Amino acid sequence: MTLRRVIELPPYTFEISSGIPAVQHYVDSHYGDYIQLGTGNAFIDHRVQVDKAPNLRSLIRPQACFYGNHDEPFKPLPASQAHALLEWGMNWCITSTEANYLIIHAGVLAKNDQAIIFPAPPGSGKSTLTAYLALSGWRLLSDELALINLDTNTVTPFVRPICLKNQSIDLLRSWFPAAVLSDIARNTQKGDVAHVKPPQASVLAGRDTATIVGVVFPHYKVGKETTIYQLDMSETFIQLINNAFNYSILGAQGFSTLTHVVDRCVGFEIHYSDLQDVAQFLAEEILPSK
Amino acid sequence: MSMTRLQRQLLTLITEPRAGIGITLPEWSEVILALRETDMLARVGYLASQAGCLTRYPKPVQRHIQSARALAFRQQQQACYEAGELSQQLADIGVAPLFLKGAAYSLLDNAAAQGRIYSDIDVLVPKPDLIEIQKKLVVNSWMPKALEDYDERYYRDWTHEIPPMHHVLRGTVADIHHNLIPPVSGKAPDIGLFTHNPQQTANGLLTLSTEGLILHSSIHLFYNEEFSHGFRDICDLHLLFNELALTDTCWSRLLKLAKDTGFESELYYAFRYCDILFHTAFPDRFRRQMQTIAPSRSRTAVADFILGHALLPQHKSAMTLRYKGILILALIRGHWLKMPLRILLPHLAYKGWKGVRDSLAGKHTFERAEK
Repeated sequence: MTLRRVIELPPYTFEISSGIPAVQHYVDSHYGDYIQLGTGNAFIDHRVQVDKAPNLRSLIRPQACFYGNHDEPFKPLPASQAHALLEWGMNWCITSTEANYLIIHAGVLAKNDQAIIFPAPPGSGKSTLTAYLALSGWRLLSDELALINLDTNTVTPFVRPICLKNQSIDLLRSWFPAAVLSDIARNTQKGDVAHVKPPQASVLAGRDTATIVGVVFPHYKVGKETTIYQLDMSETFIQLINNAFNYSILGAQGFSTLTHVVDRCVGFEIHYSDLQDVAQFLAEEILPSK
Repeated sequence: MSMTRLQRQLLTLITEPRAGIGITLPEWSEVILALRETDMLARVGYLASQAGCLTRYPKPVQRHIQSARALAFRQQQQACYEAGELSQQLADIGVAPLFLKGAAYSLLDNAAAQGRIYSDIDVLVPKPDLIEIQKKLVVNSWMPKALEDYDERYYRDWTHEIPPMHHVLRGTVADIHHNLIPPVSGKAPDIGLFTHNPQQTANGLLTLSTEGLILHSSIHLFYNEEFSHGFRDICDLHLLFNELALTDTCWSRLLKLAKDTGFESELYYAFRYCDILFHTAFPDRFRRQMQTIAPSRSRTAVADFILGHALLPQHKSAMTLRYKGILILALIRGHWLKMPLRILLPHLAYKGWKGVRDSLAGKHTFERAEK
């Protein structure tokens, strides 16, 4: 049985199909709070499919293949990683086609439509921080892709499951026993990964843009005492470029968009091991007091 | 020729951009996918905006088109930059490269440049300078692509180009040619007939003359065995011909060049399929001249069956067994034109074995999973 779902994942509509039961289960669980559309009468932005590699290969050490918009951008992965492959493939759909937003590799979280973005390369603790905040009352706008509206300092939500890696999976389970986690995909390129189901309230607010008030570059290190550096505008600017997907494609518009952002926000680099410290700093020092 | 409803819609968007206003949203999902698969989304957007109807397309469609146009624009900028770099580097050793196809369109900023997506930069250089050119490029961070031994030998021994060079930092790919088709075909032209009157672009780089560019693009298309970009390429020619129709100077030179170099059939096919697919605005005199160089009826009928189909947009849902069969005929035809049998047969046997193996066992059976 092939599952075929048309799901509103603002600002996009995805069609997801898969014949792999584990993926079907994952989609039902992690995308259950989203608006589902009937197949056949909607405008679909991106079509994705994860299925077992065809023919002989399905018999020996089965692999999963990802197909996005009739393209096959990745080599197959072991079938046990199929649901993670789906998520990465969905990100690829956006990063390979989208130029209506400046896309930064960043977590985005907000309170009262005041957003902080957390740009960071893999391994810096971005997703753990994102999951921690999202499950402690902040609104999740994105874990991976900050979609900045061009020539503004506002960000469009793209609410999706949060990708936890390695030790953070167990940590998060211990902090938030009620959180819904996917099966663990073992030994992927990023190590062991599990996806956290996004909070329902964040999904329901998936069309509410937010204003960027802060840019924080996270650096997690075991045992590190919280140390915070304020960045000047040019440092913030450069680090944002380093984490951008399509800055060079947008050319002058990419530059002016970043100018809008850094002109109207504060930038920090934060070295930490204690997430509570970070959350307190964000709420007290960056969010405007009401 | 028979075509799918979607293929017809794509053709109509080129000739009649206003038709896009009447396409329903669910249909547009398919159309956008197919346009993206054939690298034509940005171009369709450009044609719609030129016709003044882009703003009447549905909003989500406009957004996809806008993204595609931004990417295409960026590619065009990049191509012009790379062309400048290459020209400068080769000037050091006294070589003035001539740019071909997509890169030339971009440099000239002509009708075919708008929304053109391409993967490599095609350059024509004198054959005796090849070794020096390769050395110079390697020093400037252009590296030959790693190829299977078989493919490497194929390039070196039989073709009109060297294996593609890619820039290690920017990832751009340059295809360095010394002729327009493989000399082993026995039909490679005296390249001087193409290169004696290059045109200079606004930023001082060189491309083939207008007639040279059009004829080369026709040769490239109709000597090819692979038509995955056939729709885009025939559309390029349509736009170039339409642009040419506004002036009156080049048509006779085009015909003369085709006759002098022995590529009348290719020019005729370019004319024929532009006319059939896009109703291009050819001058009447040129139409009459084309009839004088038309291949025999039987050859035209065969071409209509093979090329007429292979040039249609090859979107995924069009890939019926019959259509795939026609594409295999196109593959054989292209190889047949380019290679004598003693070379062609072993080549097809090797490629065929790989194809059969992969189709029976599954494309990924012999690949390891990514770790």
